[in-house]
Parts: sequence; structure tokens; C-alpha cells
Amino acid sequence: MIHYSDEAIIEGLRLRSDYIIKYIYQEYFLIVKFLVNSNGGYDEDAEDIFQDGLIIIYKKLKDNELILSCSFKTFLYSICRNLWLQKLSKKTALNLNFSEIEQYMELPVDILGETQNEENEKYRLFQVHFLSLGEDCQKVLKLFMHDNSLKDVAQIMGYKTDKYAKLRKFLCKEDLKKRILNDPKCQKFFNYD
Amino acid sequence: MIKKLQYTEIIDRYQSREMSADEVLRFHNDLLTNRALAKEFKLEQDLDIILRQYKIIDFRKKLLNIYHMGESKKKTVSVVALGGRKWYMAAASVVFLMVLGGLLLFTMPRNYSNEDLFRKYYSTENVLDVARSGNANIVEAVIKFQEKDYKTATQLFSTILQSETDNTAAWFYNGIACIETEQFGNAIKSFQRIITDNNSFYIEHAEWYLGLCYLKNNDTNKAIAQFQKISSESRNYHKVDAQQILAKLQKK
Repeated sequence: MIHYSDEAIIEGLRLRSDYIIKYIYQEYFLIVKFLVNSNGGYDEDAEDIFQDGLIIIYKKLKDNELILSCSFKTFLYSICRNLWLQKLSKKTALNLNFSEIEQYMELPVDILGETQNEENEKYRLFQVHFLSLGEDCQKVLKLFMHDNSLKDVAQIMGYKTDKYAKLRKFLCKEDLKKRILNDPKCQKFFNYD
Repeated sequence: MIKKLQYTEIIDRYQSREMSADEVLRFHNDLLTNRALAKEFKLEQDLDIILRQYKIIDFRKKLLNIYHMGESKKKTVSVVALGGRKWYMAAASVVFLMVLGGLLLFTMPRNYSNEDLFRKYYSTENVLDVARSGNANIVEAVIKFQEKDYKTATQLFSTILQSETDNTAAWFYNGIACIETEQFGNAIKSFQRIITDNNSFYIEHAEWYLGLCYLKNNDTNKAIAQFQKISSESRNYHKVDAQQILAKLQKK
């Protein structure tokens, strides 16, 4: 199997390369899974934490704000570790007798802030719901979010009228909101009762 | 109980700036007093933030796809249970088909053109196992290569090779990308370069692909010489394939 240096991984992440992402999963997911499993979490939690960790790194890369002062593995592990600690700290019943799996680093303040961001979970769930919409709905909503006019959206999507483009946007948005509102995991964000 | 939305339309009218000044004022007041409206409006605002981050959504999509791909691979390892007699019948059928296939393979006369042989033996399946790169400069080119965007890959490798003339991995990838873009002359130059440099890690593969390039170029004598060289090396990775090609070339 091909082996990438940390520089190559960072460059591949910046490019959102499927191959690099696959490589990261193959090389590092098990460590995070082991960490989470060893500290009161399930595989599903490990997957969420791993994804959120990579999103934090990607955001920093996108804004050209990432400075890697240790190996990529240690960096990713440290972020995921903090994310999991953060989640555990909310579960008051759990005794924080934390099992360390790997060497970790003290995270820089900005990255630490990202790991403590309450919105991470909410945004992940909302993004997942958006991605569960049909391709057509995803595309319509993206087009509107990028300030395309009704006319442009109708033209790009092949709709006959602007009015229909508006209706599609409305229905897609409504569908998305319903999915979110009816997801038990999202109730803590929007409790309507 | 399925939760329903109450204010989608009114929020949409507000966001689309279709409200009169009075309606806007009323809407703002309602936001302060109507908890359900305020929450639904907050959801809309959150969605707007998320949907504007299309690169992050795209990245999330890739993460989910790759994770689920890995999961489904694990799940598709299935065991086929065959009961008593069915098992013997299935095994007998397989043996029969293998014998029949073998007989046909060895008894049917077959002439292979150079093009046939090239198609049969050219594969990039293991190329990425062969070439290893830890060089950041090369990674973008490798990614293009992996994405099968060979045209861009050849351009990027050419740039790299102008300053890194001894980068054997780049020469190797470049050679394969040149084959894929049908620049066989350039592919030959790349593989010859590796052979001249005598880099032990790549040399066997470079020799193999060089032979295939000659075949593709209908330079049969050079191809035969190349495959003879490979088949004479007892531990050459491509020895068996080279011997098979030679046998087929000699049948012609």
C-alpha cells in the first residue's frame, strides 16, 4: 500500500482527495475507535468523533490556519481525544477514569476552542440530514444558498418556470426541516414541546 | 408523533423580502413573543449557515461515503451454505466447466495481434502498490493519477521532473500516465530513464511496461527482446507473463 507523508496527507485533505481520506480512515480510525470504546463509547460515537476531528482540521486548512507542530497522527488523535472528553464531560454519570491509548499533545487554543464548540454536533446532524435529501433537492438548496436568482435556478435545474423553482426550494427546505425536527437526536437543539 | 412545521411559509416570505414594512414589524414582534416561531426561525438561520459551507458539506459527504463503503465491505463477506446433494452437484458443475474451459483454451487455435496482447497484459491495477511517494510536491500529481485524470497528471509530473530529474517514482507514474494518454514515445523515454538509472525497486516494472509500449507501437522485435530479457531473469516479478507473451508472439 502507498504510504503518505504528513505533508502529503495535509495536501490531500486540502484537496478533499478520496484517496487520502480513505488512507486516513485505514491508518487512524482504529486508534480513535479504540479510544472511544475504551472510554464508554460505541462504534457510532467513534465515527462521529473521527469525522468531527477531520472536519476541524479541514476547516483550518481551508482557512490556511493550520500549523502542524507534531505528527498528523498525534494531531488527529489529540483532537478526537478532546472531542470525546468534551462529550464525556456532559455525561455526568460517567466516571472520568480516562484510558489513554496514544501519545497526545496539548492543542493550540484555536483548535481547542473548535473541539469545545457546542455547535459541532448540531452542524454534523444537520449536514447528515441535508445529505439524506435527494440529489435534486440538495442541488436546488445549494444553488439558492449561492445567491442564484430564481431564473438561474430554474434554468440550471431545467424547470419550466421561476415559480416552480421557488416551490421546489420551499418543499426541499421544508423536507429538510421536518427530517431534523423528527430526529430524536436533534430534539435537544429544538424542543418544540 | 410527527412534528409539523407551522411557520415555513411566513419565514420564507420574510427571508425572500416579500413582506411589507408592517408585516416585517409584526414578524419581528412575533419572534420575541412566539417561542415556536423563534425556534423555527433559528433552525432556518442554522441551515443557512450550514448550506453556505458547501465545501464542508462535500467533505462530510466524502467522509460518510468512505466510512459506509468500509462498513458495507465488511458486511458483504457472506457464507454460501450448500446442503448435501446440492453441494456435490455444484462442485461437479464447476469441475466440468473448468475441464471444458481448459480444453477449449488449449485446443482452439488463436492468433494474437500486438494490440490484443497489449490489452490483455496491460494493467495499472498494482501500479500504486509499486510506486511509493512521500513527497508533498508529487502528491497532487499522484492524486490526479489516482483520479484517472492522466492528462493533468502527465502535466504535473513533467513539471516535477524538470526540477527533480532523479525522482524515480515520478518517472514511473509519468510513464504510466503517458501510456494512458497514448503518448507512447514519452512513456518509453520514462521507462528507459528508470532502467538507465538502474533503480532496483522500479526497474522490473519499468522493463515490463517498456515491453508493452513496444508492443503497442508495433515494434515487435524490440518487444520480443524486452520480454526475453524479463523471462531470462529467474526472480523477475513479470517473468511468467513475459513467457506467455513470447509464446503467443511466436505463434503468430
